[in-house]
Amino acid sequence: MIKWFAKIQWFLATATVLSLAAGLWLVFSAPDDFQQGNAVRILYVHVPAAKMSLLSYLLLSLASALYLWRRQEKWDILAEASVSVGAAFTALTLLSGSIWGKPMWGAWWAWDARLTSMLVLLILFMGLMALRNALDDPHKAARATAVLALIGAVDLPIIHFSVVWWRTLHQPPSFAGPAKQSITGDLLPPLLVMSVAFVVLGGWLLVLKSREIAARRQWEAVETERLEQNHA
Amino acid sequence: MNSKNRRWLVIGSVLLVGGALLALVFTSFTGALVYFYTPSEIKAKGSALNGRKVRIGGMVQEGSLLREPGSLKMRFLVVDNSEGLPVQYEGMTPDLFREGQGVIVEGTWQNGETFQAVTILAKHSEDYVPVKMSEEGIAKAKESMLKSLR
Amino acid sequence: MPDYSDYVWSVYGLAALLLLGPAWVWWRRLQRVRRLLQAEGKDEQ
Repeated sequence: MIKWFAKIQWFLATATVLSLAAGLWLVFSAPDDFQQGNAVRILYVHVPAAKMSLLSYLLLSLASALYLWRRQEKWDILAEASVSVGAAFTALTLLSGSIWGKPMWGAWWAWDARLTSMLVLLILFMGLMALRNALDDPHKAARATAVLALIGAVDLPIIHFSVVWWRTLHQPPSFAGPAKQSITGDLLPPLLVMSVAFVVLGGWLLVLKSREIAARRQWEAVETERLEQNHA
Repeated sequence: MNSKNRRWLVIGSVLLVGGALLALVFTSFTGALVYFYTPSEIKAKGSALNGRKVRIGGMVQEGSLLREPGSLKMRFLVVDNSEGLPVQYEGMTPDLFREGQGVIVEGTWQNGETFQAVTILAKHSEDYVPVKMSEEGIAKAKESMLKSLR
Repeated sequence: MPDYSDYVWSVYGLAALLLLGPAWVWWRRLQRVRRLLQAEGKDEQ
């Protein structure tokens, strides 16, 4: 898997640059919103970042389940990488939302269901990083984080449906399939292209981080081996 | 890091994650995640909520916003699909605060008295419309807002 | 309509920092470890 990652990395990096360039060009040539003015441009970072946060956790759950089932190290590497990538996207979602909330809602933060469940997602990612760090035995660390990640997956439906199940300050989803279209005219293409760009960017980050983890583990194995030889 | 510190880090991180998850799931089932009452709901509750800090959300009724000249004092009516609630407020308002716009007011509830808001938050709908099509946008936003107040 | 450019630019700056920052660190670390491995006569697996 890692060898294959090394092969597709340059393709992903090129695709990231191209799609981000196209997305940013569309974002800054899009018209202002009828009530938010140019603040609407924050949407084009905030929404794709939020989608990538959830997608990262979904991938983490999948990799964790596969690791617990098959016990192959590649699934654990993928899980560790999705935690790092997911944490970055989740932090961006929360911070960009905060910067958007101040001028529009009049508050940096509100304890409504959407914001709170998203904060819990960041705590999950951070907690998983801390747990892996705290456990010496790599097999134990892999198992413990996989189990905790799967328990935490209960947060995903809560985040997704929070704006539908409960009355919130956060607005309901704007883009819910072709039947319900709340983003009109020239405001829509930048969101579509930026969403694609963020998926590609996320893929590239994941590949890079996975390679870094795999190489680090390989080096740790070399060092352990050398230590044992010195003792013998 | 010594092994004792490590053990505390393990316990700490599991407790933090578990606690956050449990709190979230628990509040989900008790309904505490509902961020605000609508005017209809708060009127139905009546004096049961007296003295409690509450949030009430709705739309600022068109033609109801009266600003007192020379001060930051204002009065307006917060409405949902059937009821309206008069609100008083003094202070700065968010840029999006205006007639026909979603609003969430925070204050202490006293049944029968005019609601005194301490904080005002603007709530906007999920509609994004180019500025050239403003009229269409305003109509769409109003419809979505009233729908979300049901 | 007020101008929100400052808010917009801070979000795009933050996005660059939070997403490209880690990428740069991970890339540097990967190169360093690969050099160490190559010095041992091993290649990335």
